[in-house]
Amino acid sequence: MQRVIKMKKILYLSLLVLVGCVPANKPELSPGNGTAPPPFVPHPYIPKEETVDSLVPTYSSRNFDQMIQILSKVTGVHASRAEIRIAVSKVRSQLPLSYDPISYSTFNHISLTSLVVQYCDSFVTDQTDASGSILGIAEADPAWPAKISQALVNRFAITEVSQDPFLQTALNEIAGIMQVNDIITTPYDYRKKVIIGCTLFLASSYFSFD
Amino acid sequence: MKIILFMFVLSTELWSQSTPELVIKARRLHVSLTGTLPTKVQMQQTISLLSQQRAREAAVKIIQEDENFYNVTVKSMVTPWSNKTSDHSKPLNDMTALLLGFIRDDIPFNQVFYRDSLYVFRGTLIGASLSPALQALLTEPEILFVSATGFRNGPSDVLSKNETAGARHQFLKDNFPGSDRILIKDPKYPKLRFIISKYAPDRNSHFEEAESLSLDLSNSNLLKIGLQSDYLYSDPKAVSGILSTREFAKAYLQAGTNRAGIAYIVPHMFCRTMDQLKDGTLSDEYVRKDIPRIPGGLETTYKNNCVACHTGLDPLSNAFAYHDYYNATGKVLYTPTTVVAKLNATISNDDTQIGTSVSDDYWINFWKSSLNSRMGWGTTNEGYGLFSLGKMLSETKQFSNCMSQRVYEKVCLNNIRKLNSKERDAVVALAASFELNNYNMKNLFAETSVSCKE
Repeated sequence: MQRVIKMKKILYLSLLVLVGCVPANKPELSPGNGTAPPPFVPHPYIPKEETVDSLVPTYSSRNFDQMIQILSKVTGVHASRAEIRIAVSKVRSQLPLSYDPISYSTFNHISLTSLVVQYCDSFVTDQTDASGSILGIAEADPAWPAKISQALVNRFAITEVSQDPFLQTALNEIAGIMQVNDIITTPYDYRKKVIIGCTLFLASSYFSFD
Repeated sequence: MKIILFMFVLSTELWSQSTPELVIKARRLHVSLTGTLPTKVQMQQTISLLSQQRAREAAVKIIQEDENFYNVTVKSMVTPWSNKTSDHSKPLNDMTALLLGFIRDDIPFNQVFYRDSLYVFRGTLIGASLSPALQALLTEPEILFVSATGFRNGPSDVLSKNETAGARHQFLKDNFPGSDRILIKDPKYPKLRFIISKYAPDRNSHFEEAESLSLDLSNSNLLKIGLQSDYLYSDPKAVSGILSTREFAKAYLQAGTNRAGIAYIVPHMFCRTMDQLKDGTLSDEYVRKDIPRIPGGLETTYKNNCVACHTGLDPLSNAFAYHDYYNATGKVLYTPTTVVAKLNATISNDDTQIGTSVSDDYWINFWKSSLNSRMGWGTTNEGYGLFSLGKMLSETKQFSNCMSQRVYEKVCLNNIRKLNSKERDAVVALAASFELNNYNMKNLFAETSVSCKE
């Protein structure tokens, strides 16, 4: 009987040790080298305070109205023009409804680019004079890619090139892409290249970095 | 020449003084308020004001001068309120035009629930005869006619170079013979003449066509305020702000039981879901007959679940007892003294038929004395019809809080995520200021944009 009681005591103490709760009047069990383990202090739960700055979104995708108005504003092409309305009616249902950039897909990007191409086509049409020069630069000018890209950036950018390193990079990129395969045989080729340069610049405005 | 030189020097000076931080701040302020990028001139003006620590003035200037504040930001904020799915791509309509117009014209925004107003585009009717007003619009040497629905032989715009006013009028009559179109001139585009359907109480084409032509919503000479009692209802008692607009009726009163009018406006404009308003402690004396008392054979389901919403919702939605929307005709119908039949519908397989019969448009707010007193209700607590219900809704503190929250989410967070605890505190402070400033939404936008973008 005494042996049973002794076994129960040992079992009881073992359980207490396991849960880290040894009665105060009992001798503490040492790990074997004679030193007592540090008392267990439960770590209090302190919720981390959310910092506002870290959570303010720094970028988001633009919605449909924003895109139309931005493109109209920078190109000066009114959204009521027939060719724009046709393009808009084609892509309206293909632009994202959410502002969350995670929802942005290649599908959205293609539809946006087709809309930008139409705006740029109308813009270039408006900027072409009777002699065929676009933005005041003649196709015969050998430096036309650099001059056209400079004119596009001057027209569309909201800051000065000297103020914004991104603009200088964009300017070089656009000029470089327009320069590639620069065999221009007809005014149509020249016009097409300017539309490509315009599209390159404006299609990147889909995301708002603000 | 001296002035041009001075302006050039001034602008160069501003750019040279502007730090990258100021440029970023100016761009953020502009994008948050208009949803679009600023022009170089706008950037210079904003940077100049920000460098003088006049951020609020900069925000006010953007709001007052950039049309995209209305055409983009305000429109995309209020459009989700006009449909059940909170879809912000729905077309412009009489409800969203009213909400937008109240913001533009500095009308206290809590009056959207009860004031007799309707915003429509004003133009000159293309009638059978050539009126002096129409003649004035058709006499300029070169005009581009733009129609949202297109002309008879296909194109949607037609250039008229040297025709006389009479010939142009004949051309318009041939293309639009029904005398249901109006001609609109926007002073910003003097050569363009926009052609849209005139306002009609049975369809939304007037607003949809105006939107497809990107007509400027910020121009108070184009989108003008009028009275619902002149356009929609013969009885002025039917009118109560957005609650009696055609689009509201189409979205929330079509079929159903007219409870949706309350059930959806609460989450949209009071930022509370019906689940948050559940209260099972109230009397069910106004719960209607279409709610089964023993659903699925379990009376406890009714007592523990159903009543929690319906005890408060049913007595409030009785205010819509005389309003209905007929899809076949596309019209809102107001039948004073005759309660719409669907409010007294019963359940065919429930023999008990227990429930209140709605006999008039009397409503009472049980939520005022319950857990939902935290909504901050005003003095009005019961009444007859929509007007008094609209007054009650307009007095609610939660409306101010919700508008501040909606503006904060739109301007500061671009609707990407919900508010955190610190932002909720900021919203409460902005709501107090909103009430102090006589519910002026433009002021709320300006203060909010400065508070988070500075």
